[in-house]
Amino acid sequence: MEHLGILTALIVWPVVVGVFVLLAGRGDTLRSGYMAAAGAAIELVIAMWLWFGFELSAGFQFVEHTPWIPSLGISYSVGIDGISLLLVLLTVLLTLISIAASFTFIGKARNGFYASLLFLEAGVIGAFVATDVFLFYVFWEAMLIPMYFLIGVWGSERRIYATVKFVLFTMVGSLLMLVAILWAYHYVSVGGARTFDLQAWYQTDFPASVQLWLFAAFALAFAIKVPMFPFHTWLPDAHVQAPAAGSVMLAGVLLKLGTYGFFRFAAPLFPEAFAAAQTPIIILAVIGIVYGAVMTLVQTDVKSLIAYSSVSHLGFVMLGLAALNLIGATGSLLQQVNHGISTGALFLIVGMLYERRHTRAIADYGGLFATVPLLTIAFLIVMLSSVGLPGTNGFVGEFLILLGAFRHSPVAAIIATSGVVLAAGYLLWLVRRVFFGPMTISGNETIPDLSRRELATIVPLVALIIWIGVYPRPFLDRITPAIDAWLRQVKPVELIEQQTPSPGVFVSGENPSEREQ
Amino acid sequence: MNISAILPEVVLTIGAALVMTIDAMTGGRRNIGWLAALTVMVAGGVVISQFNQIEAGFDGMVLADRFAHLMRLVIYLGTLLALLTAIGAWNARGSSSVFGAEHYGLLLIAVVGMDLLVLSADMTILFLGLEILSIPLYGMAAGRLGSDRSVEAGAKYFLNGAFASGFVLFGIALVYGAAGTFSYEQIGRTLLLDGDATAPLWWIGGLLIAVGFFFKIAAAPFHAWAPDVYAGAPTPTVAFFAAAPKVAALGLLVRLTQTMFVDLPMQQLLWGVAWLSMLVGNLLALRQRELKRLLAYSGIAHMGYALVALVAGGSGAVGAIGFYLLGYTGMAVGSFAVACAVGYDGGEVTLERLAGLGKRQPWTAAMMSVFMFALAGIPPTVGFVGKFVLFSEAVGAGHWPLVIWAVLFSALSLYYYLRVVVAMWMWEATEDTVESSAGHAALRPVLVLASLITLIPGVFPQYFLAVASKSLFWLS
Repeated sequence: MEHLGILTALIVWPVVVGVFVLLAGRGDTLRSGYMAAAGAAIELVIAMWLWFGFELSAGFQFVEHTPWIPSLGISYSVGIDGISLLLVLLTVLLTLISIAASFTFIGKARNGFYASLLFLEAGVIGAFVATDVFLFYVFWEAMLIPMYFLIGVWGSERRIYATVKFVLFTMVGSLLMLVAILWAYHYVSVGGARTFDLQAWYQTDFPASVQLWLFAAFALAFAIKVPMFPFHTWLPDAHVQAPAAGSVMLAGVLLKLGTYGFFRFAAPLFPEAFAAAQTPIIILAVIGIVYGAVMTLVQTDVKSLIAYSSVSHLGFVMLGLAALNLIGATGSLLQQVNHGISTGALFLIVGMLYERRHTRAIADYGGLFATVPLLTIAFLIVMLSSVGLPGTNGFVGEFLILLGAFRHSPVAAIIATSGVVLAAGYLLWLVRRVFFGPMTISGNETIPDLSRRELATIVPLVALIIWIGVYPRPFLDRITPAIDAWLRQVKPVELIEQQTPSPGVFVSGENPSEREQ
Repeated sequence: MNISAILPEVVLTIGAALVMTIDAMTGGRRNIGWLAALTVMVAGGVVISQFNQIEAGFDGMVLADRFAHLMRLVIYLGTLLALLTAIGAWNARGSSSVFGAEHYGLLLIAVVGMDLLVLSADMTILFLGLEILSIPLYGMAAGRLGSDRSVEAGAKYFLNGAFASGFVLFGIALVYGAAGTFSYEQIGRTLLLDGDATAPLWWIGGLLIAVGFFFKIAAAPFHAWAPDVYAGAPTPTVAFFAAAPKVAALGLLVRLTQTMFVDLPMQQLLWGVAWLSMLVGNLLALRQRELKRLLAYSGIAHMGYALVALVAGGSGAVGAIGFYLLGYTGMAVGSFAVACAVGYDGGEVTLERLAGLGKRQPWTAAMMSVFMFALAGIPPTVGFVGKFVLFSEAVGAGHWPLVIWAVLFSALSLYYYLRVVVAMWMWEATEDTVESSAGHAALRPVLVLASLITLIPGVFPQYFLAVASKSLFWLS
């Protein structure tokens, strides 16, 4: 299974296709779009290999390791585990869908658009699979460039403001994280040599006095990306101004890099600091849940509404993560995927509406069910998944998170539950205002329903919503071993023993007490 | 006398004489830049052939070691790029060039001065190099034909530069008074043995010498001349100013900190200048609407970044600075070449003029974006790896507060670099932003070359880092 180079192929292939797409003509024909879609479809086929070849165990698989800058201890190391597997697959799927959904949405400079999407895909996958801190950082920053262009060139009226704000917010956090990375790099020493190898960093006990600072720098970078309250202000701007495909990628994939960063780097590298920050993170997560939900109630713009609902939903993800138990963290990871699917789909459908009517204002719609029944049904299913209706994926994720959170802090769980109630409120209200009620705006009565291509972009997402909602087992099986190993990295031993382990879960691996000072 | 230690400089001098002579014989209207470029390449070939030798010459006044070889190669690279820019700009204008052919001769002579700076092991050579470097630059800054602004730029540069030279000369006198010798090594040794008795002389002298070179690299608070000179001088000249002289002056500062600036409060001085350069350069760049001014302030900030590593000191830091200067040469000269391509008629290059460049000239705009992202330090460019190694050395030496300062301003700098990118790709072109493609076609070679220098060491830095870090065995 090793050294097949699948992960490298997943990173390199979109770049290669992207370069060809970029050079394909002057951008006024759809040729570049078809090329990009074909490339992304092949990428999906390659990625399926990961799903079927993945062994249900903790630890990195499909590992590749090549020295890159040996004098600085930097290597090209990639690998995938239960934490990153689903996120990589989500990225590949959403990229394909974003490309297919943009054939008519994007009219200018098409080749640049599709190339940016493909470069973005490569950057995100690289960040998800990197097991070398330097390599991760390179991908983490490099993917800003395509996203910057996606919002800035193909966005709506205030796109330049939004894209510059997005990049600046992200960069401030990232660069402070870079200082922390450099500090840690000079501290980590394996046999006298410095290294960026993540495994070596995991083995290092950073002194307690600086752990908090290092953690703070990492956490800031990731919290901005998530975005956690109060670092979320760039998100509504970016979402509202981005083209539909950009919003899908932003909500579906890019935000996950923040939560993934907590899982992969901030928490396991600095476990003591993470334990100390547990309560503040939970508080911020709960504030985010309620604040995001309340903010949706006053939004007049559909995309802005969904953007704030993202703030709320990612609050759940952070809550499950910070609960620091198997159930909560598993739910958190699954909910990342769920949010990518359902919010991605919401932005997709809103993009289709925008394409038909060129407005994002809720007030400009109403009674659309009569003219676009298929679109309405698709939106309803996706919306219910976002609300967390049983039978959809959102229910599984939120239920696990709330259960885990309740075990750690009943108060937090109870307040967070209000977020679920509010979500039902604002999303149902949105549906009522957009799809039902009287049709008051002229022009809405003639808009066409979903085309076959549009249907094809939504159906896979709806299928996943129901699959994960009804039979989440294959997904949980892949997640749980990794989460279990992760918990032993980040948690003091006595807390683990209080839990009720499922049989055969806690049998091997390092003794967590070694991490204790 | 060991002529082989300065063989490349001999080549350059002969080349300069040839260029000047041919220029005079043809009445100054022939584009003889190719001869200057050839000269630089031959000189570079000589350096490469000597790369593994250490040559001392002229009673130890000149030391051609690995570090000097490396610095000279970076200087030649910057010079070659600037020459290609000048040749392209001339070709684009046909017979109505904005500068005369004496540009090429002056440029070669200035390179001789830069070489002497990085070769110097003795304060006499230092001063000789400084003057041979400076005087042609004054002439070049004023070299735009029929332009008052260019004359003003030249005069400003001359006045500031003359002050700087005066500072250096006075500093040399004081240091000589304290140590009784001109040789860096002996000064360092003497002062280590009994520096206390002569400390004030020595401190003030060292400080004055350093200040003179802070002028040359346009580090704050000695930067005020740079934006005006950059805006007024012909753009091909600025492309030359932007990298090569800074490389030489910074190389000299590196050498001085490693040899004679011992036992000095030099670290605090470097710390302050680095701190201030990043602050001033980045803050003032935010509001610039003219590309050359913007790049001038960005250059001030970048010298601040380089000084961060110099504060850290040590051989790793010197390697990092060498690597960084290589990358900076590519991205700085490249971006001025774009300014030259857009404003090849000699007009101002405002950001408005860049509007819609992505549509009109996608290749130029793409390469300019690479330079901007590199200057901002975003991977996968040499700008990122360069900053990374600089800051890594500083953090390793415990200077993380300065590095936090540096990264905060790096994040800020993204704003004005992005503005250039925004203008090129996201602004709609207005009516009066039509231009002929002549400038772009003529400058294509230099843009491609600069892009390669910006990208290749960014993705595959190992070889370059290894060469740079091995440049220092004279330290031991």
